[in-house]
Amino acid sequence: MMMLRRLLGQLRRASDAVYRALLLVLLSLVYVTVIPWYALALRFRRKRAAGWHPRSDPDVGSLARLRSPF
Amino acid sequence: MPSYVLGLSSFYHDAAACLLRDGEIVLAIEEERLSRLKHDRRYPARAVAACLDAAGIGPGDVDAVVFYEKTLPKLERQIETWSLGFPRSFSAFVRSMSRYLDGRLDLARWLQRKGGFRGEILFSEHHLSHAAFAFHSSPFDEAVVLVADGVGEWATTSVWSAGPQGIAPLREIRFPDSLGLFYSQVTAHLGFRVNEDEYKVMGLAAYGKDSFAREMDSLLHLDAGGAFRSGSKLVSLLGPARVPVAPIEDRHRDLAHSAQVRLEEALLAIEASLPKGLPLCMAGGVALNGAANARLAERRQLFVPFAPGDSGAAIGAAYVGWRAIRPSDVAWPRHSSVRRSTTPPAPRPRRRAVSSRVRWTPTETRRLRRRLRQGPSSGGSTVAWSSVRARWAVVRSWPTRGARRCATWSTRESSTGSHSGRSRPRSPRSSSRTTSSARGRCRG
Repeated sequence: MMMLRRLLGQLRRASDAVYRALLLVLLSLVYVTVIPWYALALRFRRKRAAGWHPRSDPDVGSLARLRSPF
Repeated sequence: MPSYVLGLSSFYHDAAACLLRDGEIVLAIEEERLSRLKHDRRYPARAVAACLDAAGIGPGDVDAVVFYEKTLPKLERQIETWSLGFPRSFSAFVRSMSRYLDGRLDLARWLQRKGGFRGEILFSEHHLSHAAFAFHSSPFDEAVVLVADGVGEWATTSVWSAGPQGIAPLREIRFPDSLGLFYSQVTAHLGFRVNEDEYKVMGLAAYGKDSFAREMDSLLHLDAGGAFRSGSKLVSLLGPARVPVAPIEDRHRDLAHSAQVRLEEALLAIEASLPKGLPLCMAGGVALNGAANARLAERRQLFVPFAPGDSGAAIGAAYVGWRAIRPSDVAWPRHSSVRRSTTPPAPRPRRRAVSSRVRWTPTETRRLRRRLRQGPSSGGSTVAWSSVRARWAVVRSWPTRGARRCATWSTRESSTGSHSGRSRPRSPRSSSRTTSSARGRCRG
């Protein structure tokens, strides 16, 4: 954890070009290693039902719900 | 002590900000009006500063900042979209994830750091923001609200009940079935820009005939009760896409017509399934389709706010937040506040270095009128006159060569719901009667 934190700190202090390049490498790695598995899982998942989904949610605008970004 | 709520929409297109003081709008403004970048999507720093200036407060005085959508369900939906588009989605993935990692993943902290806000950071649902704006800017005490756009978090079409008790969802259709995405797909196929040129497809539709009905049924299949399913195999069904610079042929006109007909059929089917006897408020990008609105207005009392797209959702988000932090307050935000204050104050007639060819001369209205009656002054042929607050989103251009025009932009004009100031293809079907009815029949 400490190592990761130190690495992130070094990344933040790096120049913008270095930061962008490292970010691109990191995201490329994630894209080729994670996304295909996610896509595969989606193909095997039960297809979502099309059409109207009834929704009863009177608290949708409550303060507790609005505080959450989920 | 007054209570301030700031609504924000940004990071997708048409960033905007809206500040409420005790439920009344102090100022609402799109970022593009200040940055001069069409559809500016960045954090609306200028718009926020303008709102705070108008109220004479600092960011620390704002009680709540309400973002117009839930960021994490949206990220989940985006990940699913990138996965289904693998490997073509690489550039979209890198672009979007870079932005998330720049701070948007923890937007609350990012806003506190960037904007200096000390109040609560809240997140409204995308369609709730749209619905709140549509209802609270309408003159109705009770209504059913239809929100139809490309996609929010997951919902693409939703129906809400709205009244004095608040706004609550009734039902929704979820991604990837979407009326907005269907229309945008056709827009892109016809060589136009998505999220910008949909109005061209609407105008083009008037010149074609419905010769793609069967193909459209595969792209947007209508089910019972106003439900629909959308497909995506455009090229295999409709042939190669039009290159943007290529001439427009009959095939393109027919395609636009069939898409428009199918969209209108879908909206009419949804309208037929809504609770009877209530007026209809509509928001979301699809509500910018004036021709479809005209068909809806023939069936039911209809209200479409002046900015049904994402920029107007900033106003809706502010209303949602205000209602949440002041639940006991009986003074529900009303449309009169929206009509008065959605746009920035007119610029003071002071000298500004806009151009060396522009001469600023402060003068009284009476003297200006007299001078205009006398004819153009030496070397000048254009007079632009803004005497009230400017419109929300439209930059209107006036004839400049050999013409002299005076413009006082009225409140009624600012409520027309138009999306772009460019001249649109005139649609034979969009007569003045249908257009006015589509744009707020209830306004009288």
